[in-house]
This record gives sequence, structure tokens and C-alpha cells, in this order.
Amino acid sequence: MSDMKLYNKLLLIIFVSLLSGACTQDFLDVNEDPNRAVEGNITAKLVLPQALLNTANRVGTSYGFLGHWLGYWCPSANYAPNAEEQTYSITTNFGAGLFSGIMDNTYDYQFAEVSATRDGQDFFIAVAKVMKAHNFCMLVDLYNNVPYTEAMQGLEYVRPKYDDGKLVYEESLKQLDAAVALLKKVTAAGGVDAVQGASDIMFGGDEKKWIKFANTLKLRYLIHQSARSDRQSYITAEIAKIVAEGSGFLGSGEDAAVAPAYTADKPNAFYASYGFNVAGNQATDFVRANKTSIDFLKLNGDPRIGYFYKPAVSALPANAAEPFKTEAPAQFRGNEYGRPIDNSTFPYQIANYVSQVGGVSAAGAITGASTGLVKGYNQRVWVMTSVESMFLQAEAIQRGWLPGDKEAAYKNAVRESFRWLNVDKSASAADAAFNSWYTQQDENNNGNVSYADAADKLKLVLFQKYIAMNGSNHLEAWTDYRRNGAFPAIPLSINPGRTSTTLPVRLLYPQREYDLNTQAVTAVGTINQFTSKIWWMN
Amino acid sequence: MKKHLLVLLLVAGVLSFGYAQRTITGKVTDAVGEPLIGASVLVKGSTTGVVTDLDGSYRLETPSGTVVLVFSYTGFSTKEVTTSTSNVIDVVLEEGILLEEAIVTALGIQKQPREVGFSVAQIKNEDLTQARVTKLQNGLVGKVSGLNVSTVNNGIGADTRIVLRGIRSLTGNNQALLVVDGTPMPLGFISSINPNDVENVNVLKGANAATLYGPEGVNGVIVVTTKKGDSGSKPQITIGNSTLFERVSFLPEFQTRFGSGSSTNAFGDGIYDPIENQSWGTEFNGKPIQIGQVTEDGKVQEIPYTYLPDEKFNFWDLGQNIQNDVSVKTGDKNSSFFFSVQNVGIRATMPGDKANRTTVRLNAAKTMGIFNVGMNFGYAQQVTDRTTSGNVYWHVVNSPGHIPLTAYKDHLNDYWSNVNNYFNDYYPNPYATIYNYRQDNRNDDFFGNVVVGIKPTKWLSITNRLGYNINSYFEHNINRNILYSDYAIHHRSFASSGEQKASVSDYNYFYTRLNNELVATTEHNVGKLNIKGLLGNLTRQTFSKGTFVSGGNLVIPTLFNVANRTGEPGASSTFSDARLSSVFGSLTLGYNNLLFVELTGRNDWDSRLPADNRSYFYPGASASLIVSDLIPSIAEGKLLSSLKLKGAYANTGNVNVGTYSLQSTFSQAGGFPYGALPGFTADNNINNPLIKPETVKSLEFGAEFAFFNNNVLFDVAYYKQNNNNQVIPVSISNATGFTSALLNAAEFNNWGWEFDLKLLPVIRLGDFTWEVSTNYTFNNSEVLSIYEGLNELGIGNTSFAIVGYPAFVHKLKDWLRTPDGRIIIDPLSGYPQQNPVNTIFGNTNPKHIFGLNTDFTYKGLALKVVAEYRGGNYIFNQIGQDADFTGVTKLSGTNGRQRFVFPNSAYSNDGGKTYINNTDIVIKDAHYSFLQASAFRAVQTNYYSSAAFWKLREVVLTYNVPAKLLGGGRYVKGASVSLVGRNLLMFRPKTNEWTDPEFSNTTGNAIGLTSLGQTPPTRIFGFNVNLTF
Repeated sequence: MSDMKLYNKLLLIIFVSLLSGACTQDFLDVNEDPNRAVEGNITAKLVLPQALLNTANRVGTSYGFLGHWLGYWCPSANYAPNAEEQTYSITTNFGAGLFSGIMDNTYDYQFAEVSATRDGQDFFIAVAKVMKAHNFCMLVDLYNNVPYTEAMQGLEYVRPKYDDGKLVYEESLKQLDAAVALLKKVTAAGGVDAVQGASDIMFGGDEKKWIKFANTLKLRYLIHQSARSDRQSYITAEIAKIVAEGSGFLGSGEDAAVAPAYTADKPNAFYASYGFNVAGNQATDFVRANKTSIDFLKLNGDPRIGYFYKPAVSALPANAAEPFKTEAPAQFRGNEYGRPIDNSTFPYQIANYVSQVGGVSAAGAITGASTGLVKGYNQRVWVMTSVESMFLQAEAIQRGWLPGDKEAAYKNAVRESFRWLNVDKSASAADAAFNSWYTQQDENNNGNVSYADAADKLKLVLFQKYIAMNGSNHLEAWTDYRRNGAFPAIPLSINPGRTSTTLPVRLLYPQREYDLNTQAVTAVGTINQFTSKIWWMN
Repeated sequence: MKKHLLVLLLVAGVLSFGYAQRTITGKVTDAVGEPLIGASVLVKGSTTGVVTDLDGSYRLETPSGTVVLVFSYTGFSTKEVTTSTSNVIDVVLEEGILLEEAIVTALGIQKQPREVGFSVAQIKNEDLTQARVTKLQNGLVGKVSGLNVSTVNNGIGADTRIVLRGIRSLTGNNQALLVVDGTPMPLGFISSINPNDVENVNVLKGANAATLYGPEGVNGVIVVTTKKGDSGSKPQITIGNSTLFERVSFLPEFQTRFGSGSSTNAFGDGIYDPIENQSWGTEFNGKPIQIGQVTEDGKVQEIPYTYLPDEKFNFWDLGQNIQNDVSVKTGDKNSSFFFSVQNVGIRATMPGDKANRTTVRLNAAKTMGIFNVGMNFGYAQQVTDRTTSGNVYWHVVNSPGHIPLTAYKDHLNDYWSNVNNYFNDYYPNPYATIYNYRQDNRNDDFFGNVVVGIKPTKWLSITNRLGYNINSYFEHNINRNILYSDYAIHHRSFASSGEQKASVSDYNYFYTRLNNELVATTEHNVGKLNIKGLLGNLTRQTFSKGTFVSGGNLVIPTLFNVANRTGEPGASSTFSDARLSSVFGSLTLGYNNLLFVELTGRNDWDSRLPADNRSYFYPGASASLIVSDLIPSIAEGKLLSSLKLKGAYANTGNVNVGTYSLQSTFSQAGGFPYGALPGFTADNNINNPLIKPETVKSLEFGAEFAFFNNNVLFDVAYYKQNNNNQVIPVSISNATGFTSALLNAAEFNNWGWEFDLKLLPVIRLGDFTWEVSTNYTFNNSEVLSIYEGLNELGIGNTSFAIVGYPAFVHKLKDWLRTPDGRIIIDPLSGYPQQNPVNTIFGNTNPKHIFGLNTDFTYKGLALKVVAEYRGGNYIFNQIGQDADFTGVTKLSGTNGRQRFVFPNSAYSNDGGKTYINNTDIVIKDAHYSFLQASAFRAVQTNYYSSAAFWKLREVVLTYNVPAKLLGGGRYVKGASVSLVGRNLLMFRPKTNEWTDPEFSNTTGNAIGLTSLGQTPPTRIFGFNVNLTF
């Protein structure tokens, strides 16, 4: 029996030791995440490249529906129509990804700003501020009143209130001023640190370009409110600040555009969306040319037609049945937006018989000879193009906000579009092409092109801006259309279910906001996509 | 029963008159004369007793005079014998009737039913496996109350959802815990168990039954006990074969009038389109018609323009399921041995999909004096070859009615079936899809446990159970190269993106779980008080690692290796490491074998929780009272034989927190890194460093009645669970910068009734007997709160938790309706109008489940039938919404696509003040532009239906070959032949035109949705032969 007692003791010892072992902290401290990064090991440097790319991809590829509405692009007849988009009877689900995507992206800038402030990185703080201003103004241009003062605070404000669109604009402009001041401080301190510069995929750590970009953004948002007579004194004061600052705006060849190390397998999003897939074939049979822009370009004999668009893959057979006549040159064809698909009566509205988004004819890297919109898998994707900057300056000069030669500024802007598209494969050839086309149209007294012949010079600038914005920033084109009183006249969708005689002037707040932030969003009032204007509209 | 009271008085009298002694000896055997070792012999009303020895013999000192001896043995009915003058009492015990069978509760503790204060149900092997299921869980369906096993899809590797007593967590896990031979296992392991190896399954229905498991047991427990060799039996060898066939049982209802097209002419009639996948064309007319484009060779395919009714049905193969089984069991006085091998070969209804599972099991145990050692080893290997395309059913369904779909099987050789010439310009040949997107996977499951026990004294036993489980899973996915001719690239829509390069991805997953339990139990009698104590410790370590690699653009199109690629490979890996320590104990007090009270407590330390609050204590209590023993007079008549009352309460947690869920995280965004440039983005969920477990307070009451000499058994139980501090990712405004935040919020109640009624023989006429058992479960819930300022929580699909409603309800897009429910139309166009605000509809979880089991036996013949009803829930048939897009469904043929008055509609001429019944305004255009391109399809209520069904789950006709035909059982001891059918019939409401509503999308909580990603329902039939040597 003594053996038995020994067993008992032994077992008791084992048992007690197991029980006591149960509670040791070390055994349980295995909850450090081995899979994902956490706040403690993330800095602005790791977040900004991704955030910049995200913003550029949104500008470059997220506004296809506006391309349809504004007459640039049109779906091919390979796809069943999107009734909601084509009838303008949009719902609270339409474009909801824009609201969530922009907010999500803006949080990364917010985090970068906080993190850079903690680490004393002025350059990163400034970059984050510029981009936040850009994103919030983009939200206003889509939705008018949006959360701002309580936004981006995580659990602090789970249901952020909506702020007046005008306030968001004014606060954003202040942030741009603050960013410029910080960037000047960086210059004074000897420029951007090389390590920081390496993660600036926009300007490679050139803080002076960031200042120009900030100034150009300010100009953009001032021009957005140009139609509001009650804003003139504000505009004058803000312009004066930009002029006083002295760095000027993005000039010819200066895109605010990003380019991480794209490869053939990881091409840029614009190229992948509208150019070529990884196998080297056409990326989309959905996005095709719209008859409206095709007709405008043909009407003005504009050589850029072959750069905004590509010739159709398959030639239209002789006497092919068409729902409308295609003017010469017939290899450039567009579809009519909203036309019900009837492939048995009109079999040539499918993808291969309609022009694609313009660009190089074969997949590959960008070269000096790459032309059009789609230039190569490693082309930069823009947040703002030099073409837009030049048109903003031309408009400001035309309006007398900035000093300068009005006609020259206008012609420089249009010429910049030729250069940007690399017409005839080089900058000098593009200039020559512009000059010969402009001279010819001038001789033809074409008031749609020639400054001298235009009855309304401002409208000429705006019309040519509309032409030039094709494919590069449809949101800005929509904003121009809205602030200028539905100019230029663009044919509406011919979908029989269309419910309105005007284009929508805004998007509806996403359903998710009505579900989760009900009180705040309903406090804005009932929203109608045709009548609830953006604050800067007349 | 009055007699017993008398005896008690007598015993008391005897005891009080002094301790005159008498020695009684005897032997306890079973019906065939085998000795019962360790049977208990007790002087009734006292603590005096012994157990039988290895020969079944006993020797007991009793008070002199007449006493009642109680003979009992696990699995046998208890027998009481009043002593007479003889000092030798031999007893034969009968295999027990159900009421007295020992049941297995938490930690493998066996208890007599009378001791148990909560609901436990036992299902024995013969009931589990009668219909030759390949998955154990399918054998549980319809057999006990409170249990809901749903097959969420069909086809190979289809998942099942196993839920007991409704739900306790809004967004977390609600599935039951699986315990195999005493060791808790991941639930998925249940599919790797050979059902024939299972001795029985005990279902611990609620948290109350499982308090000793702590948070893990909150959803109830499926306790699986595998077979052991019988001690003292001769070697027994069983071989069996089952051959089953599986056939698609039904498809959605289709329109049969219109062929391909996607537009209408000026008169609003469909236009025929030879290359369309959609069916919005002209009416069938039987005349020859062109399908597809003119090919490169100038050829045209021409077929009659006639509806072919069987093509979509014949697309699916006749499935096969062949099971072969061998098992051996043997044992002697001190050891037992069980060994089995099973192979299951499966060919699915999806053409070309197949799987093969082999399981091996070895269970052995040995007793050596005060020590006992046991081991259970199981190994399962399954290899599967299946298509990864979720679009096959979709491609089949949207094939226009006149297309001879099954003629395109030979897609590699046949001219009209090949990739360049297939008629459809938008979707590929489904046979080619099956071929082009494939997966080979292999799943290896090893599970073993070693049990070492010691019983140093009569009142103490200590057992250590070390369980180890390894899962290794490997998956090889290939997308084949699709090469189009140049002509096709220029002329065919689907080919316009050009060649699809071959690609490959591999996934490896490794999982281990070590689970050690040390448990000491003690039992002591003090007078009429029986005291049982238990103290235990659990240590668990779970580790998993997954690695994924992929490569696109394979250089050699037929070499599916990641190394054979251009460009960057895709690669990712995930690790998970979780640990758990627990201390638990219970104290059971039994008074006079008629009142039992059990107190339990468990403290957990869980590594997944924040360090400051990772320690949690969970108490529980239960009690049972044998009223019929307390007040024998109530069981005096013939009607009531016994009555037991029971009740239990438990306060448990539910740790629905994954590993690494405390800190907000950042991930590399898609595309990054670009060369040396990394790019991180904040993930969308705000994690919470203060998160706590959910709390579940669970209360249950019940009664067990036995009538007519234990021939009618009736159990009733009521339970209510209050579930609070739910760990939920609360959706928050995107303007916060995030989409959700992990918070402790939300509270809901969940309650229900369970009834089990057994009629042991309803009829017994000579050799004919008929038995019936039924069970009924009612379950409901109500959401009490979500989160401050938030009244609802979307949990995925169309399922929502909304305050004041059951969890969960559908929220669906509906038409605009008048206050009395009529659909508002636009008086100009006749079009009904979509309500911009989604509307709350019925619940997703069934409220009523009714199971019916009935057995008929006549001599060697037995017919067993299991039927099940589920109802009170609703389903959104997205399958209909999808299929309407292409105009193939019955609904898309409404009114022959001619203009019609929208049913049950009304309109207003005064801006909505009053409504006029619409009897004459027809829809402006009731064809394509309405049924497909308008809001009609977006309105989800068009596809909303009751999810109720009756299913004939199992029908089994067995013939047990009589011994005399087997040569007196000298070589072959038993033989049986069965005809087996499963899911032979299903009845559902007429409003459900689409599919089996049991297919509810997910093993998670967002059930109540069918889609074309699922495959059609099937019925299974075949035969089984079993031989015992």
C-alpha cells in the first residue's frame, strides 16, 4: 500500500504543477500578429506611396460613367445596358464605391499626417495635407455637403456630421496654404531628405513641384466657384495669395502623376483598364467611343481624333446597317449612348466595330514615340495633367484673374493637349501639328477653334477644355459642365426610359450612410440628383 | 410502487433493529449467459453494495430479513429482486430500455439519465448509419429535437451547418462543438469520421449540458464515441458494401416558349439572335434556324427551333457513391481492440468531379490492476478532383431552350463544341468551363489520443487524456490555356480579349492541435447522500500555417508549376497560434437516488483575449428530481410509469474573437510592392484592445415522462438564452475612415421548446412491430439592442439583426406599396415602382423543425423511414434573380411577355393621397425592357419565398438473413441486405419555383440565400450488403 501512496503523491504533484502552469502569462503571450502590420510599426513613408497611387487610379479610372454621360465614351453593344446609369435614375447605390473609396484613401493621408507629425517630417505632413484637400474637394464636387470636421476620427465620431460644401472648400484651401508654408520650410532647411523623396512617387521629393501642384489645385477650386458672383472678393484675395507666393502653377510637361516601378505584369491601372491585358490583348470590349466626341472632333477636323481614339478593330462592311450615319473617316466610330441593343438589326455596334480608347497599337513600355491616352504599361497615372493646369491658367487669364496674354494662354493650353497626346510622336511634331491645324481652322473662321473667330472667348476656352479633357479626367469635365450651365451642349442619353431632360448634377449619398449615419445625412435634407446643386453651381 | 415504500420502511426497520447479517451470493449475466463484470449490486435504500467480479459473481453482506437488491449495469435495465429465503440470487439483466441507458455528458462522463438536469440525446450507430451516409452529420438529421443540420450546397465537399438550439452569436460561430472520444476537435473533422466507426453520438443540446467545456460548449456539443472491442467477446469481423447513386432531383421552373435574343422590335416582340445567351427572342416555331455565327470555314449550324425540355437536366451526371468497409473487433477480460478500414469512392453529378476517402481506425484499451490505458487512432485521407468554376450551373441555366446543350460535350474535338465555333458569343461551353478550371486537393486528417487512468482507491480515479490532431491540406488549382483562332478574336465577343494564358496556384495548410486534459474524479456515499467531485485541467495549443503561391502566364501551357511562369509570382502566408488553459470542477450531490444537484465552474485563460481580461470564470448549476420516486403514488396507475423534472442554469462566455484581433492592422495594397517600394494601407476594421467574450446566460427546464410501463416516452424541454456583449464588427460610416469597428455591443434572447415522443411498439402483432418516434423543435429569438444609435446590423447577404425582430430577418428591395399592400404603379407607363428603402421581411432561421422516425419490422425484414419538416423561415432565391437576367425562368415568361395589368396594383391621381385599384392600365412594354432591364429584377421580393419543406430524408428496407440460411452461423454469423434511399421526395410551397431552400449559402450566419453558385439538389438511392463473421 505504500506504493499506492507514492503514486498518489506523484500524481498530486503533477496535477498541482499543471494547474499552476495553467496561468503563466508567458504561455499565453502568443497574440502578436505575425501576419499583418499594426500601427506601431507603420510610418508615413510606408503609407504614402500606396495612398498616392490610389488617388491617381481613382482620377484615371473611376469616372467611366461620367465619360458616358459627357459624350466621351459609350459602352459597346456586347453588354446589357446599365439601366440606372443610362436613364439617369440613379439610386443611393450608384457610385457608392466613390464615397467609400475616397474616404478610405483619405484616412491613409490622415494617418500619414499624424504619423509624420509624430516623427517631425514636414515634407510628409505637407504631402498629406495637399492630398487630403484634393480628396475632400473631390467629395464636395460629387456630393456637396460631406463630413469634414468630424471625419477621419475613427471611433471618436462614429457618426460624423455633414459640413457645408463651401466650408469644406474654404478649409481645404487653408490646408493647401499650410502645406505650402511647410514646403517652403523644407526648402529653407535644405530640401527633402532622400529617403523621404524615394517614397514620393508623384514628384520624387521635389518640394517645389508640390508647391506648384498645391497652387494649381487652389486655382482649380477657385475656378470651380467662378460662376458664383458672391465669391468674387474671396477669389480675388486667394488669387492674390497665390501670386504673392510666387512659385506659380504646373507648366507644360508637368503632370501631377504617379509612377511606381510598373512592369509588364503589373502595369498601371489606366493601361490595364483601357489598353491591354497582361496577355497583350485589348483590355476591354466594354468601353468604346461615343458618337458625340467623335462628331465634335470630326467637325473641327481635329487631328487629335486618332489620339483620343483608336481605329475600330474591324472595318465596317460596305452598306452596313447603322442606326445613324458615321461621318468620314469611318474607321473612327462611336456609339450612341442609351441606344437599346439590337444586334440583329444593327450588328455593327459591338466592340470590334467601334473605336477604343486611343493610344499605342501594341502592348509594351512607354517610349518617346508613344502617343494617345494609353502610352505604355509604365506610363504615369495622373492626379492632374499639365493640360488641365494650362487650361485653368488660360481661363484665369481670360477672366482677368491673372495677368497675361489671353489668346496666347488659350493657344498654349490647346497646344499642351497636342503635346500631352504626343501627336506625331514628338513634342516638336506635336507643336507643328497644332500650328498647322490651328492655322487651317483660323483660315476657315472656325469659332470652335480660332480665338480670333470665337464670338465668346471664354466659351471657346471652355469648349476646347472639354475636348482636351477627354479620357483624362471626366470628373473635372463634369464639374466644368455643371458650373458653366450645361455647356457645351451634349446630347442626352437616348434610352427610352430616361427620366429627365438634364444630366444629373450630383450623386446621391450612399445607402450605407442612410443606414449607418442616418441622422447626420438626413439632416442635409432630401437629395435629388437633378435639382440638389453643388454649392458652387449657380 | 407502494410496495417499494413498504420495503423502504421495512429496511429502515431492519436497520433500526440492529445489524443482523446475512450473506447473499450469486451471478449476474446477460441474456445469453455471458457474465457481466462490474455490475453493481446494491441493497436498496442503503449504501451497502458490491460490484461483480470477473465471473459476474458477487458476495454481499445484507441485513437479515427481507431486503430489495438493485442490480444495475451500464447499458442494461436495472432489476430489483426482493430476497426470499434463498441466499443465492442469480440475475439475468436485459439490454436496457432507452430511459435507463447511460448517457455521455461533458468530458466523457457517463451518467444515468436520472442524474442529468439538462437535455442530452443519444443516437446509436444503427440509427446513424442506416441510410449509409458518408458524413456522420447527415445521419443525425431529423433524429433529435433541437438539432438543425443543413447542407448548404450540393456536390463534392459541400459544407454542412450544425446548429443546436438556434443561435447565440450574431456574427460569430454558432455551430456545435465536436468532441471525439473525449477530446474536443475542430468541427470540420466530423466529415473525416467514418460513420460506421461510431458507437453512438450524444448530443448535449445547450450550454447547460456543456458548462464544463466553458465557452467552447456554449453552442452545444456533439459527443462522438467510437467503437471499442467488446471485452470477453470472440473476434468479430464485419464487411460491408454500399453502392449508392445520386441524381439531380429538380431544377428551377423554366419558360418554354421563347428562344435566344436580347431585344425587342417596334411592336414589343422579341427578336431572334443566333449568338445570344439570353432568351428574349421569338417564340419557338419548330422550323430550322441558325444558331451561332457563320464560322471561319463558312459553315452554319442549323437546328429546329423547338424547346428541348430535358437538356438542362441531362447535363448532370448520375453520381455514384461506393463504400467498402471492413472492421474487426475483439477483446478479453482486460483488453479490447477495434480496427476498421473504409473506402468511399464518389463521382459527383457535376460531370468529371470525383473524390475518394479512406479512413482507418484503431481503438485499443487495456486494464492492468489499478491502471488502465487506452488509445484511439483515426486517420482519414480524402483526395478530390473538381472544377473550381462557380459558373457551371449559371452557364447551364442560361443556355436557351432550343440549344442541344448535351451535344457539346466533346469540346476538344467536336466542330460545333470547340472554343472557336460554340454558338454562344458571350458565355463559354459549360463542358469546356468544367475542363478549364480544375482543382486537385488532398486532405489528411490524423487524430489520436492516449488515455492513461489510475484508480488508486475505490473513491478516486485520475485520468489523463492527451489528444493530438494534425490536418494537412493541399490544393493545386489550374486554369488551362484557352487559345482562340485569329478569326475568333476578331469576330467573337468572348474571344476579343485574346488568348487566356494558363495559370496555377498552390495552397498548403497545416494545422495541429494538442489537447491535454487531466481529470480527477471522486465518489463517496454518506448515508443517503451520494457525492461526486471532479477537478480538471485543460491545456491546449492550436497552431496553423497556410501558404499560397500562384503564377500566371505559364510559359509551357500544360506544365502547371509556379516555376513555369513569367512575371512575379503571387505569394502569401498566414500563421495562427492560440493557447488555452482551463481549470474546471464540478460537484454532484445525489440524495437517495432521486434528487440530484450539480454545480460546475470553469476558469479559462485564453491567449486571444487582451492580457488584462483574458481570465474568465463560468459557473453553472443543474438539478433533477425523480418525482415518481419521491411520490410513488403518482406512478401507481398503469398510465404513468415515471416522471422526472429537470432544470439547469449556466453563465457562459463565447470567445468569438479570432487570433490577433486586438490591434488595428495595415496591409500592403494590391500591386505593392513595386520593386523596392512598399505601400501599406489601413485595413478597414478598427480592432479593439479591450474586447471581452460574449456572455450567454442560459436557462432550461424540462420533464421526462414515461407512460404505459415505459412504452411511451415523452420529453419536453424549454430553454431561454440571453446573449449579451456580442462581439460584433459594428458597421460605421465610411467617413470615419473605416467601415467597421469591433465592439462589445448588441443583446438578444433566444428561446425554444423541444418535444420528443417515442412510441415503442405502437403495434405489436406477432412478429410484426411498428415503432414511431417524433421530435419537434420550436426556436425563436428577438434582438434587444445593437449599438447606441444603431438599430440594425447587416451580417451579410440580405440578413439583418434588427431590434425588435428575430435574428435574422431579410431586408429586401420591394415595390412601393399602398398602406394596404397593393403595388403602386405609374399610371402613365403601368410600370410598378421600386421602393428606394429596403423593407424588413421574414426570418432566416427555421422556427419549426419536426422529425418523424418510424420503424416497421417483420421477422428479418425492417423498414425504417425518416422524414423531416422545417418551416417558419424564408429565403431569398437569388438564383431566380440571376436566371431572370437571361430570360429562361418561368417568371421571365410572365403573360407570354405581352402587355399585362400588373397584379395587385394600384395608382394615385392625387399625389399619393388616395389610391385606385388598377384593373386596366397595362404595362407599357412587358417584354425585355420590363422583365429584364427595369427595376423588376432588382426587386428582390419577386424572388422571396417560404423556405419550408418536407423531406423524406431516409427510407431503408433491410432484410436480415436468418441464421439457418447462413449455415447455423458457424462461419457467417450475420448477413443483411438493404435498399437505401435518401432525400427521395421533397415537398415545398408553390411559391418556391427555384431550388432546395435548405441550400442556404453558408455555414456562417448569413443564411437564407440561394444562388447559381450552388448546384442543383439531388436524390440518393442504392443498396447495402453487410456480412459479419
